[in-house]
Amino acid sequence: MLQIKNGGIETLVEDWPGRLGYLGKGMSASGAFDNVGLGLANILVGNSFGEAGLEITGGFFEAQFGIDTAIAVTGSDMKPVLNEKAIPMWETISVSKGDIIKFSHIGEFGFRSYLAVAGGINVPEYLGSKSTCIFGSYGGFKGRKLAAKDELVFGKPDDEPSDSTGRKLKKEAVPTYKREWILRAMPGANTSPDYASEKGMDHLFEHTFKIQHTSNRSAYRLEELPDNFFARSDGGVGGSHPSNIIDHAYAIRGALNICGNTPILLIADGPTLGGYMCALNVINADLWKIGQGTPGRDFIKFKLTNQEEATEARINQKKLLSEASLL
Amino acid sequence: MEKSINAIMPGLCARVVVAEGDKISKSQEIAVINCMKTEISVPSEYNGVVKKIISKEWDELQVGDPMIIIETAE
Amino acid sequence: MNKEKYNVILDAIPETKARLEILFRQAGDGFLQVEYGRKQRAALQDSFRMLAINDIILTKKIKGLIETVPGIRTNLLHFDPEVITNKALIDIVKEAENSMPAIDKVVLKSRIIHLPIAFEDSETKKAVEKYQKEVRPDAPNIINNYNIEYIAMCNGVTVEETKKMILGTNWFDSGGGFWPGGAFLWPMDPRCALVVPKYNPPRTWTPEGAVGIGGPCVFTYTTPTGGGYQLFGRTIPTFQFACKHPVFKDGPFLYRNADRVRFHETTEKEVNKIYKHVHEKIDYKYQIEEGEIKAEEYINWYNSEEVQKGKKELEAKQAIGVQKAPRL
Repeated sequence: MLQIKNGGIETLVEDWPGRLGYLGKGMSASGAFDNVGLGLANILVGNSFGEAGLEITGGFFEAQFGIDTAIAVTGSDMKPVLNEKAIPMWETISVSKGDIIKFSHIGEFGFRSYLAVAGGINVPEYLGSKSTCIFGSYGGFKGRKLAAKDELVFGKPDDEPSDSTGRKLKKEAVPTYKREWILRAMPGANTSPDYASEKGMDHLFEHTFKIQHTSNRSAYRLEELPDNFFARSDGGVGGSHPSNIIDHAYAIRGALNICGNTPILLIADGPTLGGYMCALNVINADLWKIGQGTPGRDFIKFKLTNQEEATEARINQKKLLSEASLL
Repeated sequence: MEKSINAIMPGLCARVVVAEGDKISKSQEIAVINCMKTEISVPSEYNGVVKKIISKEWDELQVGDPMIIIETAE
Repeated sequence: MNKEKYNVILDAIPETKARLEILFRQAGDGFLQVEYGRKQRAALQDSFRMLAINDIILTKKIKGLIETVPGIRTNLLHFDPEVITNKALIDIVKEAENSMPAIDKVVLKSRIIHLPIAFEDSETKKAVEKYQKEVRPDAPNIINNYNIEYIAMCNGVTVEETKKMILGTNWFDSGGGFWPGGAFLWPMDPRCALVVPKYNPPRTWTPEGAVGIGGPCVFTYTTPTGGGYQLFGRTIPTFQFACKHPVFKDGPFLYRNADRVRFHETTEKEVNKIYKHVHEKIDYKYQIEEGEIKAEEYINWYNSEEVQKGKKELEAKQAIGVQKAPRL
């Protein structure tokens, strides 16, 4: 059991791959925004990589353990302490009943920390996932972020939690965080020549975009595009602006929606359908980087890739999120 | 002693809710930051008196940027 | 070479008498968009066909196909590229398309859901009042504290005529999305095809069951949320998170693709009573009829002299209405 002392800025129960199969019902997948952070934390404590853990955004989370167990903290370095004593990240540590874990503000790099516990977080599955959709207020823990006095129950671990204590990751398994995130992306569904100009698409893949401070789990907003981005002068029957299109399903997670002149990455809790064109799609294996992109501080750059590389990146990520990454 | 109360999140300063000369106590809200389309409250870490307001509305903030200076009792 | 740099059309099949050209667009490493026609249009016959083909694809239970998300003129296929390639999916869609060569073969399973509606009810009026107070005091789409007169004005008709049009057609669900359990409902009778602009800026709150119109589509709000559709009344629940009522036993959603919604007028008191019987007593009997849509019959009816005459008459009124109604 975990008793929450301070929910911090935004702490959510999330799993991976989230709630798949309900886009047509207006429900996006949600899920851990940085699935690599959650996945490695899970592997460290002996869980499967997609087990539910805590996604700590912005920091200031504080909680007390009700049992002896094993935990791992990954993601942005929010200077986590256990009973006021610094604890290492990216490795398994044992905690005892009564111990208090506390996080400070976000680190130099990254925006989200992950806390995995042996056995995972035991909230009821809703439509096949334990993930919270904060945008729609469902799933996870009562469909909301955690607050003081909430009590979370842990699942039953397969092995003794103490078995995993002291586990570490191979050095090459720990992801490198930067302030400029290179996201591999495939163009589509609406590109040049019919929707965007080739110059516009070049701009999209050459420019470095600052992440706007309004970015959240539904949408990561980037700097505006120039008017010459568009191939059309208006949206035809779809609407007056050239970014308008007759409503179509959004390929989330990962679509770059062009809303007016603003490019918006549609991610975890994003809208599943709407009337704006989508110019590219961040490959599944790079979605995690968006989750570590800090609003108002970090930058995003898109790198052109193709299906073969993207599929291979998925396979490599699965390898990374396995016991093969343990030292 | 002079202490600064700093931004706890990146974002835009929505407002500072105290004025110079105000007496404030620990964990009292002193300002609000807009980030992730949410208003995030910035609490004081100390008891004291507001000496100087540094941040103003629409200022872009990074974590650790000083928002106000207070004179603490100790 | 350079010309191919951003090409996303992986394949295409040419137009036939029965349908438009079909484009297969890459939409990510796990998404393929099937698009009807190069030129955008919102025509129900495209949606009928798209959904009939979609049913065929789903029946095949294809390994690696996570889901399909049909819209009015596109279908998005969400897949796992480690299990199935987009090339294999394109072949499956082509095969399904070829199995339905003529328009007279397009028969779509489609239920009719009868929904009671209370026009100008006090709950949706609260939402309009809140918007006027907190968001846009000078909102030109609010006349006499509500949106229905604005809807009528935009279409060059009276409020009574507006209500008749809402009640006078089946509203076709071309596919859901955007909000949990939501469906975009299109008028099947073009003589009832109201069109209005959406709120600008949007509302911050709308009650569960609110019914509104934005562009050509009607939307029944499944849960309390923000929104941009012009409100005209309130219906009964079309969604239930807790899945307690028997109609929601397989999931929180009432609507399925290709459903037709038919509204009938009732009192606000009756609507409120039904809420209790859906959410608390869970004994309300939804009026749902099984049925089907034959695309060819529909197109013949749509193109009949009588329907076309009425359609043109409405369009003439709308042309005048648009001039009169203030922009948002």
